[in-house]
Amino acid sequence: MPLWLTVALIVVAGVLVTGAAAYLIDRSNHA
Amino acid sequence: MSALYDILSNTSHVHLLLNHVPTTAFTVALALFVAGLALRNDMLKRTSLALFLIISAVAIATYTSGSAAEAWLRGTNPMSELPPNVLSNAILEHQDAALWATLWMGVTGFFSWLTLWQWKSVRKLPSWNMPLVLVLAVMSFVTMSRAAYLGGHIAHVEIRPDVVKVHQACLAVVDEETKHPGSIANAPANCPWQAAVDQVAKTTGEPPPYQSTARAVGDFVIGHTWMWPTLETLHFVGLCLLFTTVLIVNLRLLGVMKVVPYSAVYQLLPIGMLGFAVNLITGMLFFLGIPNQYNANPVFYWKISFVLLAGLNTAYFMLADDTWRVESNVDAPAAPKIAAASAIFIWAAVLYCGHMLPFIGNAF
Repeated sequence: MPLWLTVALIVVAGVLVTGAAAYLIDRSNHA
Repeated sequence: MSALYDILSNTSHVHLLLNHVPTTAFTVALALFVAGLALRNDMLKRTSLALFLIISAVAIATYTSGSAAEAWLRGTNPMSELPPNVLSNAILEHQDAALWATLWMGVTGFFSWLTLWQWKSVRKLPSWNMPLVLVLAVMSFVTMSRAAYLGGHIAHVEIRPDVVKVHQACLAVVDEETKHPGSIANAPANCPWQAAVDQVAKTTGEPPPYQSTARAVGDFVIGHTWMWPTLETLHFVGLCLLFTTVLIVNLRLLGVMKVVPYSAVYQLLPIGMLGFAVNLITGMLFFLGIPNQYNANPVFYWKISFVLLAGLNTAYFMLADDTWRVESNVDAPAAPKIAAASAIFIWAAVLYCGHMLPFIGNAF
């Protein structure tokens, strides 16, 4: 896999994990 | 003043100073937390949660200063020898234990912060919150105690079990010879500790090199071309999340967008804290990759010092209740305004030091 794609995919995965954590924390706040 | 300068300019001394915080101070914080749970005392609970947060920030500085202490001991020459009473394996074993302990303490710090944040933003804390922090704090205590125990073995030969065993056997021979002169041929007159150390080294032979987890992680980071640019990009994403939140929350306290009540911008704080978590993980991976780039870098010390100040600043906002009462179109009181201005300055300083690592310091 080319370097630019490897880096881009892992960065997107990292951002998605962080986003999911932020979403879950925010949702727990409205419960 | 000169003593203070001597301490701060000696990375080994800085580590010896800091390493008491994640052990001793954490024990006090854990005791306060357990007492708070048993007595159902909210003030004790909140105080101990803020202490967990601050101590987890100190744990980061303790880990990095430990690596610098090793570099100080070894010197810059790759062939340099450690002092005769120091075992290379003992350092590596301590370092691995400390890496796990720092990881547990970081997670404890995050969930302690989350609990303090929820204290103000939800009517009733979720039922999993306090038990989770208790389990994490106990794990931090156990792993950090192990790191401290192994750390003691590096320079204190008198507490290494194998050395103590040989030393006591020698003392028994000397005692027997004192009581019954001439009973033991070639009995030693006394038992120097170094003789016991040498004896252990002779009987065990060359110890097999210890497989360090910290080094294995570091080798993975520098051994794959995609790792550094990926970590760098994620570090910038984390920086954006963190600094944007810092600006919005603190500028509101300083009088910008006054129509927004403080409780509204407060909802953004987890995004900033998650940004910090991303940066702590990626930052630690950089550090494990090429520790010597940071070990002797004065700008890195400044950066970590500002991170510690940021920890204190965050703890203030988590505990101060007057900030919480800043409604829509209301000016913040003076104390939160000072804390808000400090927060922007501190985080800008962390950013500045990070960017200047190669320019003022000696990284890359």
